[in-house]
Amino acid sequence: MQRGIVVIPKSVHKARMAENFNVFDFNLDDDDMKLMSSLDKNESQFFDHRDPAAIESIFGQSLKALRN
Amino acid sequence: MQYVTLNDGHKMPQLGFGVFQVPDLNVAEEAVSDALDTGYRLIDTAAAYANEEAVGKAINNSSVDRDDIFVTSKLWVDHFTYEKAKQGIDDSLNKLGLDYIDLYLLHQPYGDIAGAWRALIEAQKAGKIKSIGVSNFAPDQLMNLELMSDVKPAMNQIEVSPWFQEHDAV
Repeated sequence: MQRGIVVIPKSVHKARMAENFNVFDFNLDDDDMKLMSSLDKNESQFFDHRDPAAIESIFGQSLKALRN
Repeated sequence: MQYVTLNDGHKMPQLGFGVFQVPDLNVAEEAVSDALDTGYRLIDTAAAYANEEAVGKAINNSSVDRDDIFVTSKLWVDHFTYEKAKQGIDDSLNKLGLDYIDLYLLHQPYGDIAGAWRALIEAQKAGKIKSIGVSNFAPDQLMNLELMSDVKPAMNQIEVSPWFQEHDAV
């Protein structure tokens, strides 16, 4: 949020929803932000949107429906 | 709640609640009700999440005013032509049971983006959607859309985490 990004956590547990909502009463300082920045692996946790095999397996059916 | 102002002037809560991978309609409805109780005012769904009905029910049954809730949904790739997108927008509105959607996104950068985008612009002009945007677009794909159309996307919703920080895209 300190990067100005809109964030959308998901949970179906009310207690975790409340925990995730509890972000307005603190700030990370520059050192913490730098430390967070160093964690970047530059790798999606889902799939590579430029990988033809991934695109075919996830979107193949939908794109086929589009062509018909 | 903190808000960001989109490029079309609309304000959007900076913290929201998403219902990706909650296909059970009862679970999704209860989750959105709980989220609204907790104080969330941005709810993020998509046609592809197959729970727009549940999201709409929770919003319509909530004591929170509709105007105080910001609803995002997304068009799926199998509707990415001009004609199919028009239908997809109406399908989302019907499933949600809402008069308007605050933000509607092209969910993925595939298919007939130009046609689908034109349908979103028209729906925005008709008042069915307040803000229009995209999701999962890489910087060059976003740039192409901006070059192609007079209406710039108000949002590009992408994956960001400590492990995938996307500094260029952000």
